[in-house]
Order: sequence, then C-alpha cells, then structure tokens
Amino acid sequence: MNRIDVPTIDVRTIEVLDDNAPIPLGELIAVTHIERSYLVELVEVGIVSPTGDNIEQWTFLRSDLRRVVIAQRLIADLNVNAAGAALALDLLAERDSLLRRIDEIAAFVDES
Amino acid sequence: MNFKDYYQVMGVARDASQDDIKRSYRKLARKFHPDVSKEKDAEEKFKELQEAHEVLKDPEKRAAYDQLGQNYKSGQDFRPPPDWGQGFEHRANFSAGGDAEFSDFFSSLFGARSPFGGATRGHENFAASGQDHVAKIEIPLEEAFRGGVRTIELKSPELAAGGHVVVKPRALRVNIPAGVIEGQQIRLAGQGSPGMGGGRAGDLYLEISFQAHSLFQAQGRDLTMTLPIAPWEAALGANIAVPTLAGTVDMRIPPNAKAGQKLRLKGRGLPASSANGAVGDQYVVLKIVVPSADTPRARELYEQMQSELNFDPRADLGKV
Repeated sequence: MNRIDVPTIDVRTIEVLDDNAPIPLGELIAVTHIERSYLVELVEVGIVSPTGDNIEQWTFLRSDLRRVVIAQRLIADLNVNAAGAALALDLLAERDSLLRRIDEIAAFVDES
Repeated sequence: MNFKDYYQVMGVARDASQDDIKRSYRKLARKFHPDVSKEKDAEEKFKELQEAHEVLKDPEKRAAYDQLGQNYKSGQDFRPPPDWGQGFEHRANFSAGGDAEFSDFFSSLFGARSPFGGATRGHENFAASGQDHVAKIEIPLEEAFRGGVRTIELKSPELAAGGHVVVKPRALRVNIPAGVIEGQQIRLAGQGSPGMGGGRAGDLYLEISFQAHSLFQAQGRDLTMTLPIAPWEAALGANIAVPTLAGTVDMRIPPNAKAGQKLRLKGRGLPASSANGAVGDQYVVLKIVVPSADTPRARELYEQMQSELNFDPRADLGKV
C-alpha cells in the first residue's frame, strides 16, 4: 500500500479524566470560552447543575464540560436556543441508554 | 482536486431559493450533526454540508460558484480558472471562519488566499495559547480491560508561514490504561495546536468509545452477556463455565432459573481506573435454548413431559 510516512510521537504522560471530578467556574470558562451571562442561561434551563450558593462559588463536574461544549455546538449549528439544546441533550442521553438496552436485548432475542 | 457539487450535497436543485437552501441545510444539519447523529461518517458529511452552506447561503459566492459550476460534474478533476473571482463585487472579507476544516476545493475558491478571502492579519505580534483538540477513538473492550498501546493517526490543521492553513498528518503512540470506560476522556498535554508567539500549546483530548463486542455489552464498568442454557440446566440448576474478559469462571445457575433472569458475577466487569475506584460487575442474562424434537427418542421425552408435567405456560393469560 502506498502510504505517506507519518512521524510517530510517543506520548508518555497521559491523564485519564474522571467525569465526576469537580471543576471550578474559572476552569469551565477557560475551557469553553463561554460568556458568564450565557452560562447562567445554560444553568437556568438545566443543561448543567453546579453546586454552590452563588456564581462565584459554582462548582461543576467534568462531565458538565462536555455538556456545555455540546450545547454550544447545538446552539450554533442547529439554530436552537438553550432550552432546545437542553431538550436535545436529555433526549440524546435517553436514546443512548435505550440503544445500549436494545444491544443487550438483541443478544438475547433470536435473529431469525 | 475534485469538483464539489454543493447543490447535490445540500439536496436542492440549482434554482433553489435561498429559503429552500436554508430549510434543507437545517434539516440535514440535524441529521448529520456529529453530536446527534449515529451515522458512521456523520462528521465528514456535516463538514461537507457546512462547506456547501457557506457558499450557497451567500448570494455573492453562490453566483460565482454557479458561473463556474455549469461545466463540471461532482468528483470531476478541477482547477480554478485563472480569472476566478474577477468581476464580482464583494465585501472585503467574507472568508469562512472554519476555513481550515473545509476542502481544498473550497479553500482554492473561497479561502483566505482566494480573491474572496480578505487579507490575513499578522499573527506575529501577540501570544496566544494553542487550541485544544478532541478526537474520538474506538478501542476493543479487551484493551479497556487490560490496557494497551494504540497508535492514533490524526490530521491537524496548522498555521503555516504566510498565515495559510495546512493539514498535517501525524501519529501518536499512546498507552491506553486499563479501566477506561466509554465516553471517558484522556488528556494528552501539549498535543493540541501549537501556541502562537510563545503561548502554550493546546491539549489533545481523546474520547473513548468501544468497538462492538461479540459477547459483551458495556455500560460504564459493568458488562452484560447472554448465556444460552438447556431447559434441564434451568430447571435443575447447574455449574456452567462462563466467559469473562479474564477467561472463563464457574457460575452456579440456581434451580428453577427463568429465561431472562439476570445473574451477577461480582467484580468481573471492567477494572477500576484508580487504586480506590469501583470495579465493574458482569451480568449474565439466561437464555433457555430448547432442543428440537428431531429424533424419535427426543419426541418420546417431550411427550412424556407433556403427559406427566402439569405445566401450563399460559396460566396467567386467562386472568385478565
């Protein structure tokens, strides 16, 4: 096969990220580049549910980072608002869990 | 470089109205959005769609594209004409933001260095951190169980001298630690986009998903499998060798086990990713397989059960 020679780098240090690790507000903003007022809106529609009494003390979970990023993409790409993105995220989670369930059941039920 | 038929990508006729184009784009964007779609090549299709939309949504770019497109078919070898872009009035810079993600075909016609792109700003005078990248990788379940070394080939857009973007292939050899689970991310520090003007490089996040396995389905650290058993094993109970990712283990089937019953092999799922983390379990769903009555002796045995066992599988149906 005609392959282009691609340099291979050995990555020695990796970090497995824990979905339940706490993420302070500052880190979430640094990673997602989200405006504070917009984040408040995402929290209001329930896309993420931080702990902490006021915005300065808000603490998120690492899994919230992904929800915020996906919500941002859905809002930008599909022309939905925050509430629509929240609905989509919830339905996607439900779909994925149903698909897993179907996989389990499919193994049990005869194909024929 | 091949000609791209943006109307075909968008699923509209060449004389479609701007509203038709918008409607079709939104519909297809929902279908192929990589965060939503389960289609295998969703990401590629979505990028193609965005590229087509970038051109067709803009009447100026669309008119220029139309003029050139009449003589080409999708996939045909294509070179931009030397007088490309001349005679069109357009705004100073309507180059797409996500230029780097688009095809060579797009870049040559509408990219930053085309007549349609504005002058690129110099990036030399400020420092900025490189962007973080995310790549999805699919690994076999066995690798999540044991850990392993995986070589990942990536195509990363990079800013080259002169401010234009080139796509550079590279490969990373990464140790996948035992105990990673689906949806989990691995951070490779400094493997994102290089920083500019002394800014730090971005990180690369690898998002784990599992290849379909012939026996097991994973949910978090727990595994589920279907175990076929004979009717007498279900009725009388049995010790059965059950496959697990660590090899077979003996499992006790209790007497009078039922089809669909879920038994647990504690601690036989995916391992913990940290010293004090939880270990997954393996669930075994019993499936009773009935032998065929395809010999006289087999028929005889079934007939004996029929006459001697007082068994009505539909006893509950009458109680409505």
